[in-house]
Amino acid sequence: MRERILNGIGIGLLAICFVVALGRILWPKERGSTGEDVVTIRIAHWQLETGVREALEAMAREYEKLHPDVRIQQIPIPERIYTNWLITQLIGGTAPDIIQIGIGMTEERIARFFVPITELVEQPNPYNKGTALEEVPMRNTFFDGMQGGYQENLLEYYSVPLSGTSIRVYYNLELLKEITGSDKLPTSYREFIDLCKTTAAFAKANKRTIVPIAGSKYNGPLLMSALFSSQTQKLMDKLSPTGVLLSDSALTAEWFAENKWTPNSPEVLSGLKLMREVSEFLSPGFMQLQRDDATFYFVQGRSLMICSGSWDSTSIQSQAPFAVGVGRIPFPTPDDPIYGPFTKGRISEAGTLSAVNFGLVRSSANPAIAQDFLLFLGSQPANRVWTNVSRWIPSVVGVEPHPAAAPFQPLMDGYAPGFPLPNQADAARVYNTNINDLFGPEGSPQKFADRLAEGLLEAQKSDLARIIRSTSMNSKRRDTVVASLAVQQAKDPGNTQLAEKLDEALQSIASIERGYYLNKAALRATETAAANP
Amino acid sequence: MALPISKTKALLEWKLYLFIVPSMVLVATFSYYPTISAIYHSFFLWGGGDTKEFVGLKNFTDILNDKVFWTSFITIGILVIANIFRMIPSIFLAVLIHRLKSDRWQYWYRVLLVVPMIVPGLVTLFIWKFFFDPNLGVLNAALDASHLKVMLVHLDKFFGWGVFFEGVPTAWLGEPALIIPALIIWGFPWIGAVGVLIFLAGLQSIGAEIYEAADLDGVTSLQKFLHIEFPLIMTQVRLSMVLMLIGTLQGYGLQFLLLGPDGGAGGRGMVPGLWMFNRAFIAGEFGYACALGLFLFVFILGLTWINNKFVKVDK
Amino acid sequence: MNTPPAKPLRKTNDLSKHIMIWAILALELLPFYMMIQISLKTNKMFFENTWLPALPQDWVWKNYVDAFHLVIPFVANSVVVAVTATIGALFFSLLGAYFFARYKMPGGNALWAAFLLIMLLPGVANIVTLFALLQSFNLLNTLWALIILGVAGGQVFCIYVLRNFIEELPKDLFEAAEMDGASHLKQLMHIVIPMSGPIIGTLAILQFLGSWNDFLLPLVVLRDPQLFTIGVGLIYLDGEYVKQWGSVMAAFFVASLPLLIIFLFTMKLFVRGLSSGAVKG
Repeated sequence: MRERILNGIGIGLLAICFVVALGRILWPKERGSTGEDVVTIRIAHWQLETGVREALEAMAREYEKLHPDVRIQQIPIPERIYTNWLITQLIGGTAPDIIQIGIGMTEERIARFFVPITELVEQPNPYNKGTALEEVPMRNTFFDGMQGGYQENLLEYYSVPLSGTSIRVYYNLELLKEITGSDKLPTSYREFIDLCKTTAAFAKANKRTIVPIAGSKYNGPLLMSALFSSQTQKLMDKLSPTGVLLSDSALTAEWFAENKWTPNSPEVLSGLKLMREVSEFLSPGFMQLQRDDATFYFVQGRSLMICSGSWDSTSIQSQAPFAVGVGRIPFPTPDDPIYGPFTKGRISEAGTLSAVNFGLVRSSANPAIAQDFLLFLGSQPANRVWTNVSRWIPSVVGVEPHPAAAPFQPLMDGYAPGFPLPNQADAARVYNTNINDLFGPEGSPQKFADRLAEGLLEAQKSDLARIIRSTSMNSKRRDTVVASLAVQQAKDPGNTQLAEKLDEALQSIASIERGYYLNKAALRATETAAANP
Repeated sequence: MALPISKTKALLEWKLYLFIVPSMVLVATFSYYPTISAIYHSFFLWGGGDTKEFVGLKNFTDILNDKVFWTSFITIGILVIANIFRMIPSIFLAVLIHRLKSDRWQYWYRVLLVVPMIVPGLVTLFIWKFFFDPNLGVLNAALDASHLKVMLVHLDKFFGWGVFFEGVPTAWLGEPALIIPALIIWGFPWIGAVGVLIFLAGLQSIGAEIYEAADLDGVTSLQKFLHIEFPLIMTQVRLSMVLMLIGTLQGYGLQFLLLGPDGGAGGRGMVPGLWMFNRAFIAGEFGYACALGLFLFVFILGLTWINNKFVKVDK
Repeated sequence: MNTPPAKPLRKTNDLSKHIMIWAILALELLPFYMMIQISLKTNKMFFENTWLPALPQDWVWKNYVDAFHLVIPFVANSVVVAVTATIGALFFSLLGAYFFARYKMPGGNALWAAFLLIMLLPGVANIVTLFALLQSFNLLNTLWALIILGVAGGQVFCIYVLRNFIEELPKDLFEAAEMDGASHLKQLMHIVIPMSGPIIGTLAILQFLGSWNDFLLPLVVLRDPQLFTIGVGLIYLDGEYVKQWGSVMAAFFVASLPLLIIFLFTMKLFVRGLSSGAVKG
């Protein structure tokens, strides 16, 4: 009997939960206007960092004030499941109206599911009315000319960027004062490494677990690869006949095949040595740690510094109970005793592209309104809200960054970076399998260089072959576009817009083909080198 | 047994057929149709929507060259063997409880066993994921405190594993070599409430007289187990093993939650089911995923058939 | 003849067993202890004191407030899906099992074989084509998809178990009812259901648990966060970059509340049902 009563209560409670839950689902609280005809625009992204969701909500509310019959709903999705969420939504036809482009995107998918907005951005942005940018074509209103939203191989602009990015080193100012007595940040590599050594000695002397640099699979390589490319600056000048300003993976591969540089070249060895030296001050076992592990470590006060992007600034600053200092990555100066000879000087951030790109989905149920919202997002007033709420760097010209974001504004002074080690799929596999030879307790730059020398040539072959395949497919796709434009142009010779488009299309084919031939030459050289070791 | 029925009476009882219609419709639509559709689509290059292109056996020849898929079979093999061992604690606990003299205690333990089921399996898994965390690592802290860590470091130097270092927090899910051990360790001590209860039920059929006779003959505990208890729960053990086998072979939820859809660091945690999910929902190659699934399906079907044919049970 | 010493020896034997059982159970329950004690701490407190619970005056109730906000929508969705799917599955499978168990209807064997076949068919690839199927029914991004699939998925196992059970019921009850002119539906309601209390209870709990723990299907089907069930919701929580573990553990606890309620009140039913049903299996 007692059992029946208990059972009854249990089921009764469950029934109550059920009814309540059902009620929530059937009659959700409608935010927004009074009318029945509320259009809902959905926008999805993966930026779960502190500040971003709030900023998007703020921008959404501003838009809703201007358009009371529209409701904006934000859908944040964690990075880890973003790709499969994306695919199921796009293929299943239930995709939101606006999606952040980046993770999980291939050119195939962008071309298939998103609306090209090139024509739209050739016009001034109506939401920039009343500002200095009123007459300026939208794509010129961004600090990088909207390159971040441009898909090179597709020849079109596809997305509107909201933010800029840069990489910095964050410092625990309280701890810094405790260790060095002042809160002056190191500006050169020499000062930086000395600070690391002082910190390590401090930790040992006071028996505290303090790691100089919080590291992870993500933060560590971020810092080290930037430093590495400082060592190949002069080398790149030497090798490149035409004074190429930005490194090209095909050229790097070709030079490697022609033995113009090897992993044992003094510059490369120096770069590896630099990486190893830094790695000794990173968290032990950092290659196995994740990004949030390192952040957690830092905000718990167990490390002095952490290297990360501007995108982590709000998260870090809001969680750290201490004052956080922000400094540029400390590059070696030309007069550095060990690393000076190979470097030209600090690396400029002039080449950084805008980020946090939002694209318009083809299958949107309300394309006109979604497009309008997208324009709003890319306007100067909206971008001001963006930087003030999220504390990230703005992307639109003329917007003052929030004071907390100011240290992250890209710094233009400096030189072009040197070339990085080849990093396509198969080359990356060679590193990852041998990475312990560089960072492990028994590792050394020479050992790692030897491993690279053994495995890189074969890896290059398959990587280059793959690049060539996809470039040739790209250019074939371009052929249909060019052909159709040419036919249209022939029928309508007076149309200057068409003529311009055809021009652009031919130019882009030329650039794709240039890439194709460069890579082919590199592959030929690689195969020859492999055949005659 | 169901009552036999004459043809004429059956006609009168035609309404009874209606009872089975909804179930049949549901099963046909949501179980049969997807399977047949999967077989059909495995011969196509399918993007998931309306676009598909017939390619005959291409998907299957691609499978032959797919290194990731074959490596995942090795991983799943290891996991299956590990899971066989993971069944032991349940049997052990069932025997222990069964041998208790007090019925009241037995009852209370059975109730206590159900307690872990209150927490959904997902939550348990996430709590274990938290245990594996290198920094906050409860597991690491336990190893340090019990000095097992020191032993592991020594073993590491001896065997040259290269994963356990002094002063370095062990990243159980981040270090490729430790992923499979992590998949095996999780859930320690590996008790499944349902399993233990089923084994207990099976053991109930052993009468007290058998035990008394055994005691008189001076039989040891171990012999009691091997000769009395184990044979009598053979059916349950066999059933559990078959279910476990099928479940492990086609399962990938565990790996997905702990490691992500890429199988974790170095892809070491990739199992066949996860690769299929990956190909469909991350690479967008639905047709290839169907072919992979079909392959798995035939494989498991084959194993079940072998099991039925060669491993006969006498009731 | 040597009689073995009776009670004293047996008592010590049992003590060692008790100790072993408690040791095993303690390890098994460790994760839940950790969950509860961490849910009342901040990250900093956890860092300083990993194993022991905090003092009552330091308990961080805010964690539970945060957890409620985070997790209640997910729990609500899961409750709706799980309850509806359980009721649906049991309803249809009772009908189906009755069909098979009552008479050997012509064609019954073929249908039964068809059902059994499903149990053997590993439906690994089904999720891929199910996705396409749901898309053509326009059921993507709805909770209905989860409910219907829960019902369909549970049919085979439930019918299998229920058929065995109903067949064991005494035939005279049915014959008597039939002579009284009761329709099959009435026979089902008045004979079968009252007598199958425990087994239905067990099946209901298993079905509920299955639906509650499912995450792969919801992950693939649902788009809107407000529709997420607890499975997807937990993955979502896990994806946050820096976690306040106290709130996360509290969220886990809240996610377990409905199950806690059910089990607290229906535990004996479940234990009994499992033991009785299992012997048949």
